[in-house]
Amino acid sequence: MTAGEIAQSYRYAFPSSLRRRDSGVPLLTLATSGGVIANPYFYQGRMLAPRRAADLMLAVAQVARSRFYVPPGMLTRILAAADPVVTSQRGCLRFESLSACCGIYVRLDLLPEALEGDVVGTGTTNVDFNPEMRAALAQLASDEKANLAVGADEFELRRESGAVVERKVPLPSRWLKGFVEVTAYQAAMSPVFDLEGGGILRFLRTLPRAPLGSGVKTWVQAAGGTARVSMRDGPGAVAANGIERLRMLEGIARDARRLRVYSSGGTSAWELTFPDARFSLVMSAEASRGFSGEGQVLENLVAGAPEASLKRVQSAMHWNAQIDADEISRLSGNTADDVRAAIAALGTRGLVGFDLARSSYFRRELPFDLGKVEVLHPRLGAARELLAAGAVSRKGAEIHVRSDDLTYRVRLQDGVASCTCPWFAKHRGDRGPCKHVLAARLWEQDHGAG
Amino acid sequence: MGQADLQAVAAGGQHRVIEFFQGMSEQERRKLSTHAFAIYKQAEKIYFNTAVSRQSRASMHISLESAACALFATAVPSEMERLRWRAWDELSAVRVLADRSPPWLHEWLDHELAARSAVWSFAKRMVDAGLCPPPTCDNWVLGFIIGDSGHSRRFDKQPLAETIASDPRLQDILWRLFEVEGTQEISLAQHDKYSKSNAWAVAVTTLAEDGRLPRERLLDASLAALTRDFAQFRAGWFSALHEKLKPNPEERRQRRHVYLGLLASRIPPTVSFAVEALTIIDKNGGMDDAILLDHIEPALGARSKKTVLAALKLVGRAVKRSPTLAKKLRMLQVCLAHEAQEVQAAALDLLESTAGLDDKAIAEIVRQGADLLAPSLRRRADRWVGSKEEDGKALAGHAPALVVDIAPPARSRDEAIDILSIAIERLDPVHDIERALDGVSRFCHERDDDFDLKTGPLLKRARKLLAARDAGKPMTGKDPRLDLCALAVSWITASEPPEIGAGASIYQLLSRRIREVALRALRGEGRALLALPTHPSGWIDGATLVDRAQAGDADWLDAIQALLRLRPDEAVAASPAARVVPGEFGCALRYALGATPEPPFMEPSIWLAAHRARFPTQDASFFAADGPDGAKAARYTRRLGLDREYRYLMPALEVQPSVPKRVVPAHLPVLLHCLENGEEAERPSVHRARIRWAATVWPASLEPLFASRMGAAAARWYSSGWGPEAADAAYFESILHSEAPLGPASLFGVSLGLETSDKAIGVFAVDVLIRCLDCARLDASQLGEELGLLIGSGGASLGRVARRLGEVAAYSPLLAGYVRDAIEAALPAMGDSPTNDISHLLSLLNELCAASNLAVRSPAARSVLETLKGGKRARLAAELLGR
Repeated sequence: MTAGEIAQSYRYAFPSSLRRRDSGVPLLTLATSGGVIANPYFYQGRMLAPRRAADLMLAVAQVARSRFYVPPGMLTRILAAADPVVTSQRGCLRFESLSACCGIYVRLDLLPEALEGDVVGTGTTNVDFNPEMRAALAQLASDEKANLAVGADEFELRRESGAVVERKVPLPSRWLKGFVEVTAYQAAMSPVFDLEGGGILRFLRTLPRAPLGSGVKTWVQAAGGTARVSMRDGPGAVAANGIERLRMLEGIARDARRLRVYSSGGTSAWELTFPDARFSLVMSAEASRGFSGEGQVLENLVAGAPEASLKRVQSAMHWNAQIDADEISRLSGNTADDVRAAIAALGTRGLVGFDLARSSYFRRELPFDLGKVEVLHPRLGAARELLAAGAVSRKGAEIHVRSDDLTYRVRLQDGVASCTCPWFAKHRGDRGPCKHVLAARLWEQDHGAG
Repeated sequence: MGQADLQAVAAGGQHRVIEFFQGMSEQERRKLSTHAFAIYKQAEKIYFNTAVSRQSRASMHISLESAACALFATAVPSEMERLRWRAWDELSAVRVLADRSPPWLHEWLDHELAARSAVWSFAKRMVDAGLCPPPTCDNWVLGFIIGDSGHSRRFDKQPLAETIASDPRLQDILWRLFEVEGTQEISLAQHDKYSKSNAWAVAVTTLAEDGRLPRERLLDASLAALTRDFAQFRAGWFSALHEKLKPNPEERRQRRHVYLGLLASRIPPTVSFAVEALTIIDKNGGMDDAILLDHIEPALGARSKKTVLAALKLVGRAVKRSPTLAKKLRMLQVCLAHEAQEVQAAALDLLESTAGLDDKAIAEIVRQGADLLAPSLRRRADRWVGSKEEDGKALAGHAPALVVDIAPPARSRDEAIDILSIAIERLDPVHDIERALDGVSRFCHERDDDFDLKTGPLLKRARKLLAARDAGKPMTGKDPRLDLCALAVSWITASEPPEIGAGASIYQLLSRRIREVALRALRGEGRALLALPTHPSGWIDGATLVDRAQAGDADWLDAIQALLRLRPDEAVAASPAARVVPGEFGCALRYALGATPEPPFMEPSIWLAAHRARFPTQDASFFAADGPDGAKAARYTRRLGLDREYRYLMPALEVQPSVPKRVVPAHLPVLLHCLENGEEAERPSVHRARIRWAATVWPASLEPLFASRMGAAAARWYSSGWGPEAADAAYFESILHSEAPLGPASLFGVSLGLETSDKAIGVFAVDVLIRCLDCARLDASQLGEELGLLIGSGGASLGRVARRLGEVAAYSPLLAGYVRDAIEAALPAMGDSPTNDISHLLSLLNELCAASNLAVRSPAARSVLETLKGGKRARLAAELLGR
């Protein structure tokens, strides 16, 4: 266990399985671990299109086991993959996972049209996608009537009690940070173009299998009912570096009705819509850049929100498929702006996710100890140290931050920050603020803007 | 007992260690565990430290084998986990553990083997010795694939079939191997790829043929493996084995439900495998039509043309036998959107020929897929859905020009510091390099009290980069980042910049210009640069340069560079402001803008730059400058040959006049023909920045840059077999950012890019054609000439060329017309014996003619088409001629 790792224990009461019952109807039972209670029981019902649901779930599990980029020096080190996360809400089951390299995030939303059954409980938990279950899932036929259980009731638990599955996974802290960063990125995204029907597969089949080359920048542009990869930016083009990572959609896009592409900066989201489900893939700005290192939440972490307000907003959030800020404002007594700020702050703690299709947040409580997330941001920690050391002062329109015997000049104008440090010169804010800007923001919170 | 005592025991060898611990209680052993741990660590450190001499190793007297024995005799799992243990002498280690027999042995071994397949051999010895039951993890099973050798069974003396037949345990394991996927390192597919003679597939088939393994079970197990979520490479082994077992039609019929299930596999070859099997079953009358049609839909959406066509045949036979099932043909929509025209045509054929489908139903199906239908099939589709006007959705329309704003020059010294910092870190956009030079040049004289405070971070960073272990020397043309760092240090500390390195290349020009600015900063003579581009591609607006020139003497290379970047403008040449620019530079400036040359012609470098800015491809006689694009414009000769033995392309590009041995550094157009041969910057980002910058030196022409690269590199693409290098992409990138027309050298590169198997270069080539055709930097006849070269070579992959040209054509009707004309112009180059893959180009031409409702017009192309006999190309030729 290294300093950058957090021990995560998965304790499943039984292994997930797909078994045929006496009636011959297969039952997919997903074992749960952690979250609101030890082994929560969320859902019991029928899958109306089991083959498609199985393919999409396998894709979620595949991402959790994938590494799209191997950092130098880590070639031989195999990181234990984290198990996917499921959130049970009224009218929606959401499965999420993040690749081991933190550069790809996927979420499967099984909509009410995909399921016929009862939401027994609400909340978020890990689910066990073991090899046997994945193999069984791959054999599910499209015309079969299959049942799905997320978790198990007391009776099932007792019956299954002989097969406790316990795994300890050293989760890299960046993996946890990645989950939180994705939410911040999605909230800033807007739709760019749609592809429909056969044009989706046509586009996905043109994608390269291997990286196009070091430092080669790629865009995707809609053209002729489909889309093409281009090396040139232009109106309506979506930056999509490391485009080969998108190929995993080809295996599941057969029945997709629409591919909607969202973008924000160099990050893009690719949302496949099925008759009864949505599958979103969010891709980091480059294959070598995991979401964890981006620092988009740092501003939110600094801005924060009063703890009391956070608690009020959190308690007013129901397990609906989307969060209605106005409704929460009415229930919590906070202004709508305060509620939005509070929701963004809750995002930094992994307590909300973002649904691009509905353009709204949804409640989700990651079953990890995210209290450590703020501590895990070295930039924020360094900024607090600078502030504590009295290294920050105002000089006219600039804030001077003294660090390592040098003075870095920070300008904060109209919400846009700049700094004279090499890190800022290199990234120009693309990867979040530098420690000097954060220190300046913290200083302004205490002393007011000049 | 202390560590030294235990060390003494260990020094006696592993047998001494075994004797020492024999019968010792667990409590006594645990007391010695710390010492044993330390001894093992030390032995391992010495063993792996190559810096330690042999004598020192010998003086240790403790081998890793005996240290490992001591460790196994004393440690518990938590201690073992702290080091990457290995049983160096497995037999001795097993003896130690047999004597000790700890209760955790089984669980520990299972855990260790699950984490590290390398301990398999040790685990097997433990199991063989009866110390613990076989581990349950997958690695236990996988280890048997390679056996005791540790890498492969290919060197086993006994044939693998005999090994399996003689080992009941291996026979049990064999069935488990059908359930375990394997890893990148160990799997049945991986093993057999490199062990053809002693392959598992061969052994299993042999045993099945001899009746020593149950054939039925093998057939079932191989299919069951395919239903698991295995990766494509590993799944392929099982489908191959299944076919090697040669199942007869009855055996296949019995397994038809499994084959039907495999149609939904995520692995494309598995889908193809299932379709082939079902075709055999169907031909032998073993298929239920309704069930087949319930399952076939995923195969109709497959990528492989062959698979979809086979699936369509299955569907066709099923609906022919059972016309009542025709309503299920709705699933053919996906075939109408397939990339291959043949698939679309086959789907339409099926729809049109099926009894039991009414016109309304067909129309509904066709309407869904009509948008992506090939133009040659649209008329057939129109019969069902009616013709519709192009609504612009199917085609992207006129490609909008890329509007790129250019950042303004620095307005203050602080901004100049920021720009230099950013340029050092990013080198992108390359215009920032010029802005950084201009900023320092403008504000170098401003050194007030807070100068040190404000430049502190920049100075520290520049010094750090210059002192980095892998950093080369600045001012050598190798790394503009280092040159900028040297400029920063020289400016901030008011010190002499480093000297220019030896040699002459275009990249050294940038170093020289940076040094020129550093020297100006040292003198403290602030002045805006003349050569700062006003357009992203490097151009300088005429009026702006005239305005800048009013400020008096500029630096030498700055002035020459400014002239070469000048955009000619006769109106500005005649302006009062231009007329008063003094000296020979003023004369050259007016000449470059459009005026007649005025003597004196004393400085050839200046006149050369002025002349090439105005007349990129014309010779000049009023000054002397040797080399290509000196006084004489460069002339390019291209050849595209074919190696007769290995059939690879042999491109060659020659330039006349040739590059002189000594190039005058100020003769910039000539210098552009001098790239560093084979000496690329180590970091791709740096190299890309250098090329992008070099493309702005002479914005009117990219030809020298391409000629000096393509002359050598393109030949290497093919002869080495490795294809284009990463650096080549940057040349194509430079065309995208340039406004220069494509000449013979750059066009040669682009046409090779259309042909190459390199995906990135291929995308670049398509982008370049779209951009250049769209803004008239290239016309159809030029493109046709290049295609003629590719066709005439007899070895170019015309399938790839056609696919990429199809992408260009799909961009807009205008570009589709250019591509159609270009192919038509190139057809005569195929000569008397065209290659078979000319059909790809003919097919594209046919689609483009159908889309525009035009026939082949050129008499030369028509006469060549008339000569084509037999096969697909003749059919396409007939279709084209009959249009």
